[in-house]
Amino acid sequence: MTALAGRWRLPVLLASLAAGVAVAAWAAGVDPDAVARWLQDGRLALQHRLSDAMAGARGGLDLAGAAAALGIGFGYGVLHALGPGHGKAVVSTYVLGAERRMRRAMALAVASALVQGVVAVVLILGASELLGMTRRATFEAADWIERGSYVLVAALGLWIAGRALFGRAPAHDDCAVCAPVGRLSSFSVQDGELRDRRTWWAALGTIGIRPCSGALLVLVLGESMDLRWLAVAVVVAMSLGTALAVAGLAGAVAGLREVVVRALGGDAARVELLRRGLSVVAGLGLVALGAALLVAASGPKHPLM
Amino acid sequence: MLRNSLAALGAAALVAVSTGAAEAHPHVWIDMRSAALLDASGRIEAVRIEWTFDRFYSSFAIEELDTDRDRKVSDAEADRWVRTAFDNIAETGYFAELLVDGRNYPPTKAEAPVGRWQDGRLFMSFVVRLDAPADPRKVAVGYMSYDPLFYIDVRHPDGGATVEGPGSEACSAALGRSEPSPETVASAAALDKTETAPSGLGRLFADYVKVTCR
Repeated sequence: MTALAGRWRLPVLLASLAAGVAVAAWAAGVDPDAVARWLQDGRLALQHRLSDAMAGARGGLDLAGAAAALGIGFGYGVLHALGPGHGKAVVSTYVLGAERRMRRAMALAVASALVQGVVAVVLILGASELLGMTRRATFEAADWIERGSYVLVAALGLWIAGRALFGRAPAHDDCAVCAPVGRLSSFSVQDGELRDRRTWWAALGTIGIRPCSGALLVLVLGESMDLRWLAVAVVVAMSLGTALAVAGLAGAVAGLREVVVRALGGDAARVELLRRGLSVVAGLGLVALGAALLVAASGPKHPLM
Repeated sequence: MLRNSLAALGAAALVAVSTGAAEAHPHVWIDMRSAALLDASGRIEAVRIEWTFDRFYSSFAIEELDTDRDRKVSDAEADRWVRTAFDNIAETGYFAELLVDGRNYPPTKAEAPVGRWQDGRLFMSFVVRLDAPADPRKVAVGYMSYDPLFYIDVRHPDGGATVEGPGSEACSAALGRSEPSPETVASAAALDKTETAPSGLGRLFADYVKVTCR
C-alpha cells in the first residue's frame, strides 16, 4: 500500500522500538519474573516515599513535602500503569478492535485514567466523609463497582464483536477521507461516525467507573492526616502518570495495528474484512477479559480488609 | 468463517489467560521482623512474627481501631483489634509457611497476639508453632511470611530476622527472596508436590528465612 501517513509515523516508530526492546530482552534471556519483580520493587519503593512525603508534609504548609508528594504520585502513577492491572489490557484490546483514530485511542486512555481517579475522590469524599459510610463499606462499594465495570467490559466486547459480525459496514477508515465525505452527507458515513463516538463514550464509562484502588488508599491516608486536598492533588498527579503510560500503550497498539492492516490489506474490501476480523477478535477478547477479571475480583475476601 | 471464529476464540482465550492472574498486585505493605525461637535443647519450636503495617493500611484501619472515637488510637485499642485480626488470619495459615526438612506447611498452632500503635502505624505480633520442634543442626529449617492473595507485600528489612533462645549465638537467620524456589531452601530433596502449602501470587515474591546453627 501507500507509504504511512505522517500522523502514524511517530506511534509506529515507538511501537517498533518497544517491540525491539522486548525481543532484545527475550533474546538476552531476561526472566519475565525478574522484570515483574523489578517493577514491583520500584512501585513499593515509591509507595514508601509517598507515605513518607505525606507524613513530612503534615503539620502546616510544607511546600517542599507537598511538591515531593506530587512528583512521587506522578511517578507512582506511571509505574502503577506499567505493571499489571489498571485497565491497560481492556483499553488496548478495545483500541485494537474498535478505535480507528489514534487521537481518540489516546484520549480514551487519558480520560479513563482520570475518571478512575475522580471516582475514587467522589467515593472517599462523598460516600465516606459526607454520607458517613464506614471505610470498610466504602471499599466494599468500590469492589462492587469494580465487578460492575467488568460485567460492562464483557457486554461492550459482545456488542463490538456482534456489530462486526452482523452489522453494516462501518464508516471509512481514513479520517482525512471520511470527514469531507461526511459533510457531503453520506448517510452511512455519518451514521458510522456517530456510532463510533457512542462506542467511545460507552468504553470510557465502562473502564472509567472502576475507582483506582491506589487512589482510594492515598485519600484515606490524607483524611487521617488532615491532608485532604494534598491527597486529592496527589491522586490527580497519579492519574496523570497513569494516563501518560496507558496512552502510550494505546497509541502503540493502534499504530501497530495500522502497520499490520496496511501490510496485509490490499483492496478496500480486504482491508474491511481484516478490520472486521480484528473487531471480532478484540470483542471476544473483551468478553473473556471481563469474565476473567470478574472471577478474579470475586475471589476469597481478604482476611484483613 | 468457522475457522476464523475458532481462531478468534482462541486469541480471546489467550488474552484472558495472560491478564487474569496478572491483574493482582499489592497495594499496601508490611515491614516485618521475625525471630526463630529455640527450645532448651536448641531445637526451633516456634517463630515470632512482628508486622508493622504501612500508613495506608493503618489509616484505613483507624476507624475500626479507634473504638472510643477520640481520633486517637491507644495501645489497648490496637491490642483489641489485633486479637480479632489474629483470629481472622487463622484460616489463611497466619500468612506464614514453615519449611522443615523438605516439607512445607502452614502453621496450625499460633498464640500470643499483641497489638500496639506506633507513630501512626499499626504494629502486630504473634507466635506460630512448628508441628514438632526441629533441630536446625540436623535438618533444613526455614519459614516464609506472605499474603497469598498478594494484596499486602510483606517484607523483611535487612537484618530483620533473628534467632532467640538458649544457644542462639551459634545460629544465624539468613534472609532471601524467592529467587531459588523456597522448596530448595527447605531441602534439596524433591518436595512432595501433592502436599501444597498455601500458594498464590504472593508466594512468588515472598521473603524466606533460612535458619542455620552450628
